[in-house]
Parts: sequence; C-alpha cells; structure tokens
Amino acid sequence: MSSLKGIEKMPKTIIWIEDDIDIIDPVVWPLERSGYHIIRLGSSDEALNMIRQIYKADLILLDLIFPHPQWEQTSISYPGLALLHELREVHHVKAPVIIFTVANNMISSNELKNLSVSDIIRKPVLPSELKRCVEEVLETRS
Amino acid sequence: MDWIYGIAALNTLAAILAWVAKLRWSKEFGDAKDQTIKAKEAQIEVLKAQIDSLKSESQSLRELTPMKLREYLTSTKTMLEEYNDALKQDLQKAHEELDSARAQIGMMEQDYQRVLLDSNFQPRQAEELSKIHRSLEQASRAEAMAMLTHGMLTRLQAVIANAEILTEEITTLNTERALVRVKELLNNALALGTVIQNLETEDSSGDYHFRRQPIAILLDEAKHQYEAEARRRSIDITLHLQPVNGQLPIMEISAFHLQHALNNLVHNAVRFSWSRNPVKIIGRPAGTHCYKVTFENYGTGILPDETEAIFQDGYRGILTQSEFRVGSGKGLSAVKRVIERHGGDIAVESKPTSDAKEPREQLYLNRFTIILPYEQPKRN
Repeated sequence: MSSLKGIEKMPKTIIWIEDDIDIIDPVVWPLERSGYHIIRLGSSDEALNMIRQIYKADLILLDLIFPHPQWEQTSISYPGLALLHELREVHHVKAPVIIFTVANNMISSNELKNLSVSDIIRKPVLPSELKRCVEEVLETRS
Repeated sequence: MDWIYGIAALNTLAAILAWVAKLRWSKEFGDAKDQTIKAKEAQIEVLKAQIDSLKSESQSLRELTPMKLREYLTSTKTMLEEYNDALKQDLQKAHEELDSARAQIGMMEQDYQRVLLDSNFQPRQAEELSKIHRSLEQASRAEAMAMLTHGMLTRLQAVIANAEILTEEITTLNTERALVRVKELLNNALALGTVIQNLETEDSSGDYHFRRQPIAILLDEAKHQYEAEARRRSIDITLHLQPVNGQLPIMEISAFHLQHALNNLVHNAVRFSWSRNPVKIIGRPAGTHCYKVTFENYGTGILPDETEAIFQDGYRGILTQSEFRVGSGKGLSAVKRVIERHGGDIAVESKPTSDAKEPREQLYLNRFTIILPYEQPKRN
C-alpha cells in the first residue's frame, strides 16, 4: 500500500522541446511550482538523444520551429512536425503532444489527427493558461 | 617715592591692558558662538527638509499597496494582450498573403512549364514570366515578415510570462524574486524594442544626435540586456575595455542608434553561441583616432563567401538557416548602417575550431569587429 502511495506522488514529467527556452523559460514556471518535472530540450538531435526520457514522459510540449538538420530533406511543413512524425512512427512514442508555437500557418486537421496532437497553443500565452491546457490534456488522458 | 608712582602707573597700565584683552576675547567668543548657532540652524533646516522628504516617501510607500501594484500590473498585462492580438492579426494576414502568393506561384510555374513547351514563345508569355518573378518577390517579403513577427512574438511571450509571474510575486510580497522578474520584464521589453527597431529603414530611424560620452555604458547595457538568457544556456558574457589615457574611452556618438547596433551584436553573439561557451566583448585603442571593439563567440559559423552578404538587408546565413534559430536578416544590415553613419567600419571573421568536416557539426569562432572614431568629422 505504501509503495502505491509513493507511485501516486510521482511528479508528472513534461518534455519541452523548444529552442528559445533561454528567452521564454518563465512560461513553464507555474507548472514547475505545481510539482511537474520539466525536461527542456533545445533541438531534434537533443530530443532523439533523450528518447528514453521521452518514452517515460507524461506529456510533450512541442515547438514547431527549431534546429532539425534533416527536416529540409522532408516534405513536412515544420521541423517540429518532422520530429513528431519520427517520434510516433519510428520510436512509437505514445505520450500526448501539445504544439506550443508562434507559427500561425494552417496545419491540416488530417496531419494533426495522424500525429495524435492533443492541442495547439499559440504564443504568446499567459503561463497560467498554458498550465490549464496542460492539466486539461493530462486529465483527459488519465 | 618715584618708584611708588612708577609701580602704581604700571598697575594701572596692566589693568587697562587686561580690560582691553577681555573685551577683545569676549567679542571673538561671541562671534564664534554666533557662527556655531548659525551652522546649527542650517543643520536643523537640512534635517527638517530630510524629515519632510522621508515623510513623503513613507506616505508613497504606504499608498503602494500590493493591491495597487496588482492593479497596475493587470492593466499592463491587458495592454500587452491587446498588442499581442494586433500582432497575431498582422501575422495571420502575412501568412494569408504568403499562402496566396505560393498558390499563385504554383499556378504560374505550371504556366511557365507550358510556355517552355510552347514553340511559339510570345511576348504575352514573357509577361507571364514577369508576373511569376513579382510573385516570388512578394512571397519572399511575406517570409521575411513571418521571421520578424516570430522574433517579436517570442519576446512578447517572455514579457507576458514575466508580467504574470511578477503579479503573483507581488501578491505574496516576495520582493527579491519580484525584482528579478521586473529586470527580466525590462530587458525583454528593451530587446523587443531592438527587434522592432530592426524594421526601420535609414529614412525612418530618426536623426543622429552626436554627443561625447563613454561607450562603456552602452556596451554594459547591451551585456545586461541579454545576460539572463545567456546564463540559461551557461554562456558567460565578459566585457573588458582597455582604458585610453587612464580612463574609459569617450566617443562622440549618437547613443540611441549606437545602442541599437551594440544590442544586435551582443544578441547575435549569444543567440548563435553553443551552450557553455563564452561571449567576449573586448575594446582597445586602434591608432590615435579610433577605438576598436570585438565581439567574439563560439557556435554556428559564417561561411567564407558570406562575410559580405550577411550585411545585406534580408540576408540570412546558410548555416544559421539550417540551425533554424530564426533571424530576420535585418539586424546586421542595421548595424552596418549605424556604424558607417558614425564614420566607422565593421568586419567579420569566422573560423572553424576543429577538423570536423561537416560545417553543421563544426564549432566556429566568430569575431565581429567595429572601429569607431573618437571624434566625428565636422558636418555642415
């Protein structure tokens, strides 16, 4: 029983893939203060090197525009979507994904459905609003 | 008997002298006393003024309740949100234009293929080709617009995040953490200003007002502005200026414009650095009439045949693009314009630091050097 209680208290882990973390880091502070464990990754290479942590993550917060050397060779509209494609198709990552981006271009609903994207949040957003959206997605999944 | 008269006369003379001395000393004592009283009165006046000032400060502090601060921050936040909505609309419009231009290009490229296959090439078809060219230009402008709005919205995201967290800090009266947030807000607002200033053309960037002042203040300001984000990637910014005649260099500059240029140079050095590498700003005299400042960083490089092109309006470095750390291609052209308007010069060198063959895996040492004259030439 005590071990079950321990499991319940495990902090939820969020992977945040974003190249402007140095500028906008405070946006996730309310999540951290509420006990979420945030792992920050600045590029697709860094993300693929941390694939074990990504498997264990409860949620992925994904920017669309960041360093991705192979993206130019694909026909996918954004580096973020190319990485997500790889995470889903090659590495079979199941965690829910929220796209958190400045990019405003229309992404087809088909593309989003295929990649199992739970929500899209456009920057800039209030940190409290981001936290609300994250918790909403996590609640839906639990 | 005469000696008795003599002694009496001497006694009388001594008494007179003693009386005169007493009169004189008492006058000096009186004057000194008056001066002391006047000095004390002046001190009392100063103290009264200080008490009044403290009373007024105390009153202001009593009025500055957490509630009022919260109201102020909330109104600031509302204003930023409105600005954010306006920017979003502009961005949406730019994207729509880009999509429409892309669709047109698609259609025109098909036409172009048909034209190529058509043996009877006519002037009308040449006109079609010209239309394609114009559309491509439009698409390029829309893409530049998207890059610029990316920079502005990223800064605005930082301002909004800090503003909301500051509101919470003030509510719980954690003044130390609140101070850190206020500084971040201020620095991000200033950095947003630099991004917006990059949009200006030579004509719209305002008149240059040259004044003699220490360049160290401007360099220090630029360093502070990007220090927090550098620290988050374990990048240390150092500033070392060699004195000129024993003091910090004084230059005749248009501070507003030069600050903008220096902000861009420091920001680029931080932005294109790889984590855990230093950014060094070093200043030293260059001959007797000029001062040289170099900005060194280690990270994404500039290819040899690009060292002139990166100063062109809208040009974005090839390695920078593949890095996808978005830049507008506007910053360095603005920097060059400002430096040249000061009668100065700017140059760049970028060299690999290892034998790695793939440029994208190579750590480069980049060095931007600006040379500015101490005095501006006389203008009519």
